[in-house]
Amino acid sequence: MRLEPLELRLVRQGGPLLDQVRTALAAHGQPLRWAITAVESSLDGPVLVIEAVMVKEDGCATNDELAHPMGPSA
Amino acid sequence: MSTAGVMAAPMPTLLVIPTGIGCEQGGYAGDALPAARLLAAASGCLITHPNVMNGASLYWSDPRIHYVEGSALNRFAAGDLGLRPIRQQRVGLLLDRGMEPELRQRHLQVADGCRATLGLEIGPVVTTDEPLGVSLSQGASGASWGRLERPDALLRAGEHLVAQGATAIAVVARFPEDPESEALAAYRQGSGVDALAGAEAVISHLLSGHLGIPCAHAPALQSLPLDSALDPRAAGEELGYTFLPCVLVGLSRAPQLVPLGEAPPAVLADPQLLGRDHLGAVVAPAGALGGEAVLACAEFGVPVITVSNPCLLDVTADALALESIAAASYSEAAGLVLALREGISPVALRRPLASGWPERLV
Repeated sequence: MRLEPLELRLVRQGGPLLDQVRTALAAHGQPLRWAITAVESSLDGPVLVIEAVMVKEDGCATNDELAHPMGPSA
Repeated sequence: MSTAGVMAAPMPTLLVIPTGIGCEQGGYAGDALPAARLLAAASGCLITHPNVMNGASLYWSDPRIHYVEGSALNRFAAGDLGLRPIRQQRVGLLLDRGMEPELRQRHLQVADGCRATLGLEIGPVVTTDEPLGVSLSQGASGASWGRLERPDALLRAGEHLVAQGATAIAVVARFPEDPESEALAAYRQGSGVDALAGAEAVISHLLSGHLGIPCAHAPALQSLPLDSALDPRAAGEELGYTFLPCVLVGLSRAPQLVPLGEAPPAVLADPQLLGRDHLGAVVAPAGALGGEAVLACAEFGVPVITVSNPCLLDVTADALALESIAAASYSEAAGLVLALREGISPVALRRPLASGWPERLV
């Protein structure tokens, strides 16, 4: 098991917010702790900036290796 | 009939002040405790987390305040956990093998002091089989975060404590330190972010989520040289050799965490069991509404009271399109909580009071 930081950018869709964030994070592993740390505007709508620490089991790809289209960073 | 002296029933209220984001109030050494005490008096029942309550050597115990670690608070707000008040927890002490012998001894003496002077039930004590390897980091927002090199060692030690009878766990991890750092100087002078807080939350989230019992963390650090310009909000952390007393006191009466999906009917029928359905309000900093607990409450329809409490973030109700009731201070928030408890609409307390009724088509 290891812990990895993650930063995600997520264009907000209509409907409840929590499920959108949880679904986006689940693509990167199991979130241990997260928060929306900024909301930016874009032509596509509000962009949520999410900072998180993820739990990864040994042998899983790192967040960088996942090359998420929203651009992971530490 | 006179109603003098009659107060409405307690209205369980959730107070969230996220850790590691430099909140002007609550971003230091338990300096939101006065606000928590006031909100506990106004609501009759306050649920809050260690960042609000922990003042290192300073603490306050109030039967109306329920001390719930952040990840358990999230699960409570999601409706997955109930909180069951109990008389006393048996607090196991989990020590990081990375601690120097003298620092370790200081922490053991705190445990002894809390047993002898406060009557807490503490033990057993377990040391991790490897150093935890805590490291600190900052997110792009400036919020503090952190990691462990050996999370597995933390979980093994926690499992051992539970097997030995602990019903709650206080973790003490050796934290990296740099007494000369600018960030530490800023924090001590009341203008910086608590660089340790994010890593502390990661540790307690990991352990509490894994074991399902109350857990909280105290960092082990060497004492700092005297700072004559120390901000009063940070002073609680410079009165002793450890940050542990508040954690032991908080955990000693932390409510039992009850998974609602698995609880037997007799437990679910316990009138003392607190669930999300009981919440009458959630109180949070106006710029820090993007956490799991606040969002879960807001989506469930719990009134959100947002308090002006400047911090690094600007994730407001407007930005997230949440309904909220704004308060300029925790004093005002307490008044709003009391109004909700008494069944008084907060709208009726403000001027101008909107007149007329918008026409609605049926």
